[in-house]
Amino acid sequence: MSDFITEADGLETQEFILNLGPQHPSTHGVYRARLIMDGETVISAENKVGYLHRGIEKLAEGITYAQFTPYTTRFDYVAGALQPWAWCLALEKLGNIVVPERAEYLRVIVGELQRIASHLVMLGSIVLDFSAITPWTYVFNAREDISDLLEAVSGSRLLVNYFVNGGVNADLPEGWIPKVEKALDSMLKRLDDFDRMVSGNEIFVGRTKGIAVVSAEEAIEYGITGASLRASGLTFDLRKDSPYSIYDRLDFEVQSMPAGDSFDRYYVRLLEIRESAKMVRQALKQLPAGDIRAKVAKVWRPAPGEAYAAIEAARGIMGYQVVSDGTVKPYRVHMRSPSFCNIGIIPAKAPGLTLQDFIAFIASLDFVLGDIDR
Amino acid sequence: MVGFLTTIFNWAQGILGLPATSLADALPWWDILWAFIYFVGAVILLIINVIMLIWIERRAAGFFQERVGPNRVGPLGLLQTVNDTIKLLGKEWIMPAAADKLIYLIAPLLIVTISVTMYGLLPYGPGITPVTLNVGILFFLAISSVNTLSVLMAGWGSNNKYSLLGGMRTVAQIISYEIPMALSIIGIVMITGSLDLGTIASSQAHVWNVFIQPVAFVIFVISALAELTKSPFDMTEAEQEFVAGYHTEYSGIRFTLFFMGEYANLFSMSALGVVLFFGGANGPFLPPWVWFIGKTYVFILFMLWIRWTFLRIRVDKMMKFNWKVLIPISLANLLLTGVGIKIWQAATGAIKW
Amino acid sequence: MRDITIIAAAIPAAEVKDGLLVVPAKEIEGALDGLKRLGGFMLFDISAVDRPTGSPAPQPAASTPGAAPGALAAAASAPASAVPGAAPAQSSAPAQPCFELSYRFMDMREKAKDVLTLRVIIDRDHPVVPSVARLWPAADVLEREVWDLMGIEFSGRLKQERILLKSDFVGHPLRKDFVAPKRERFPSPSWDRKAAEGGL
Repeated sequence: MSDFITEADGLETQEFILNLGPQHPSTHGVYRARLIMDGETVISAENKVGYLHRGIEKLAEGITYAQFTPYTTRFDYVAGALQPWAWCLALEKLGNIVVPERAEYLRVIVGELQRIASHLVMLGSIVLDFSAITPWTYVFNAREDISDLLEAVSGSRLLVNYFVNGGVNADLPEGWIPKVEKALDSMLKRLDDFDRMVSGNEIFVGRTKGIAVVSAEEAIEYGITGASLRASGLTFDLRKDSPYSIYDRLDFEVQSMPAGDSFDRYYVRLLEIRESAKMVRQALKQLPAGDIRAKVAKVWRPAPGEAYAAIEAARGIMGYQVVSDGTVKPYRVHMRSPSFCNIGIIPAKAPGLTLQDFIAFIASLDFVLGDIDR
Repeated sequence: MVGFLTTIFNWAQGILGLPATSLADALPWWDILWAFIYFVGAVILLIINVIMLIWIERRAAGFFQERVGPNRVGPLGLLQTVNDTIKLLGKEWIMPAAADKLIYLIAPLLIVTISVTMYGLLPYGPGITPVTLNVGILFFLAISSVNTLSVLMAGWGSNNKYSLLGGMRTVAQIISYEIPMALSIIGIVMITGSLDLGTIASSQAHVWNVFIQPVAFVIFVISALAELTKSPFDMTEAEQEFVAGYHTEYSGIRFTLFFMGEYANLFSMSALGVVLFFGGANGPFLPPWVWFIGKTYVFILFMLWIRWTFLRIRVDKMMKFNWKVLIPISLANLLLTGVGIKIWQAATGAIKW
Repeated sequence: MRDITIIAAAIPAAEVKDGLLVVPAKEIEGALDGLKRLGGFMLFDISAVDRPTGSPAPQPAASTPGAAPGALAAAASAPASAVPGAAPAQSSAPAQPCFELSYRFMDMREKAKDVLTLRVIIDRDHPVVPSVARLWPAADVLEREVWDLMGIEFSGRLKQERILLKSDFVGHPLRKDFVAPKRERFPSPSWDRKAAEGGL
C-alpha cells in the first residue's frame, strides 16, 4: 500500500508493531516475530523464541544416558526418528562402541523414511501458508503411510524412539519390507501429483521466486545448514561429505538449487524426498542379517572424556557434545540444533518483504519450534 | 400462489365480517403483507441455502482432498451444519474490552441485512421476483458494495491489528474490483437495453449472454471471486496472515452471522451471474425456479472448484492485475460491444446510415 | 578439512591438542580473526562446559592442566616428554575453576568435512570473551544462548539479552552451582496484581 499513499501526498502514515505469534496459524509453533510494519510492508523483524524452552540440557545432567535417549526425539518432533541418531553417535564415540552392520542399515532406512516424512510436512505446510489446502492433504496422506511404517518398527508415529546407544531398539516386523516398497511407490506418485499441481502454479511461483534470496556466502556466514543451505547452490551434506553410518555405501546425489530464494528452498526438499526414497530402496536391497545392537551394559559408565557427533538431520546439522565424568549420568550435554541457527537469517532478510512474502519466507526455512527452544 | 393467498384473504374477510370488497385492492397493508411474506421467504431461502452450501462445500472439499468430509450427523452428514450452528449459538459472546462497541455490534447485523436485501431482487422465475425494480442491476451493485462497509466496521471496531489489516485490504480489494465488474455488466445492459434483472434474464430465451459476451463473463467471474473474497483473492480473512481477518474477534452468534453473510453473498452473486450470462430461469421441461437454483448451484460449485485448486495471490499483485489488466480489457470489451451493437443494428436495418 | 596443523600454524598462539585447536583466553580475539582471514570456515556451534573443579581437557601451555582423574590418567599413560610439542607438565599446580568454551567450524572450502573445534579455557570468575558476531553473524544467536544458559559474557555486542529463558530470569541454569528455585514465578498479570495486593 505504500506505493499509493506517501508522505508527499500530505497524508501522515504511521508505522506500527505487529507481534506475529506466538499464537498464530503460520508461525509453525510458538515462534514470535516482532515486526515493525508500514502498512503491509515489513520494515524490521526480530526473532522472539523460547516459549517452548524445556531446559533439556539441564535435565540431561540429572538422568542416565539411556534415560535421555527418548528425550532426544522431542526436539525436532517433526523428524523424531532422526534426532537420537546424533546423540547415539556421540555416545558410541564416547564409549568406542561398534554398531552392528544390520543396525546401521536399519538406522539409515528408518532415518531416511523419517526425513521423507519431515520434508513432506514442510511441502504441505508451505503450500498451506498460501491457503492451498488440497495439496497439503495429498502430502499428508503420503506421510500417513510412512508414519504407519515407523509405527510398525518403533511403536510410535510421531516421537519415533528407535535408535539406542549401540544399535536400534527392535528388528523389523514381519512383512515390513514389501510395505515399504508399496508406501514409497504411492508416496512418489502423490509427490508427482503435488509437483505438477504446485511447482508450476503461476501464483506459487510468482510469490516465491526471487523472494528473500540468500546467497551462498550469506548462508555460510549465518550458519544455515541443511536443505536451506543447499538451496543456495552449495552441495554441503554431511551424508556425503563426512559419511557416518553406511552412507558411503549408498549411491545418491546431493541435491541443490542455484538461486537461494523461497522457491528453491521449497523445491530442493522435493528433490531430496526422491533421493531419500532411492536410498531407502538401496539400503533395503543391501540389508545384511545379523545383530541389531552392540552389547552395552545396562548401567553404562563411559570413561571420562568428551565426544562430539554431528549428523545431517532433516533441517540441517544436528550436533551433540557429550561430556562424561565417569558416572552413569552425563556431566554436560550440549546440542546444536539446526533450526536455532537457521532462523538467524530472518531479521536480515525480512525488511522490504510484504507480510505475505514474509510468511512464505519463514515457511520456506522450515523450522520447528521444539528444535529451536529445546 | 397469489390466487391461493386471495382465497385465504377472502376467507378471513368472511370470518371477520368485513364488507365483501377485495381487501387486496382496498387496503395498503396488502402490500405490506406481501413484503413481509417475501422477507420471510428470503430469510428461509437464505438459511436453507447457507446450510446446503456449507454442506456442499465441505463434502466437495472432502472429495477434492482425498478425505471423507462430514458424514456422521444425519444422512450423508446433511445435519452437520445444523449441529454446528446450534453449537455456535450456544457459545459465549466475547467482546474485546477495547472494542468500539456500537460499530462492533452493528457490523454482523449489517452484513446479513444486505444479503437478505439482495435475495429480494433476484428473478427466481417469471412471476416470482420479490421486488421488481427497473434499475435492479444498479441497485444490486450498490447494495452489494455496502458489504465493504460492514467488513471495515468489523475490522475497525474489533480494535485488533489483524482485523484492521484484513478490513483495510477488503476495502481496497472490493472497491477496486467493482469497477471491472460493473464494466462487464454494462456490455450486457447495452445489448439488452434494460437495467431490470427480470428483463435481462428473459431476453436470453434463445441465446445465453455467455456466448455473446465471453470476455465479459471471464471478467465477471474473476471480479465476482474478488468481490466475494474467495480464493485466490481471499485476502480478507487470509488465516495464514491475519488469523481470521476482520472476524478474528467475533464469536458465537456474531461469527455465525458473518459466516451466513459470506455464504449468502456467494449464492446471490452466483445467481446474478446466472441471470446475466446463463439465461436466468429459462430452460425446458422443468419449472423455471428449478432451472434457476440448479444453474446457480453449478456456478457455485465452479467457484468452489477454483477455491480448492488455487493458492492465494499476493495483495499488491492482485491490485496491479485489476488496474492494469482487468479494467483496460473490460473497457476494450465495452468499446467492442458498442461497435458490435451498431453494426448489428445497421445490418438488421434498425438504423440508417 | 584442511589439515589442522596447517590451520594451527596460521593462527597466532594456537596449538593442537587431542585434535582440538587450543587457544589461550587472552589470544582468542586474534585467533578467531586469523581463522576468519583463512576463509571458508562456517561457524555452526558454540558451546560451553562449566568446570568448577578445573578442566581435565587439554589446556594451553600458559594455563595449568587440570587435576581431574581423566587428565591424571592421561598424563600417566603418556609422559609429557613423549608427546612432541606438548607443554611441560605442571600437575602439581591446583586446578583453576574455569569454563571450556568451544567454537565449532565446518571447512566449506574442502569437500571432505570434519568438525574443527577451537577450544578456549576462560576464567570462571570473570567469564568475558570478545564477541565474534561481527565476523560470523551466526554467532549472534549462539552467543546469546551461551550467555543465557551459562553466563559467559560476550563483549562488544550491541545487545546482550536472554534468548531462551524469560527476560526476568535470575541466574544461569547450566552452571553447576545453579540452584533451581523451589517455585517458579508464574508470569500472569492477575498473579502480579494479587501479589501486589499482598495475596499469594
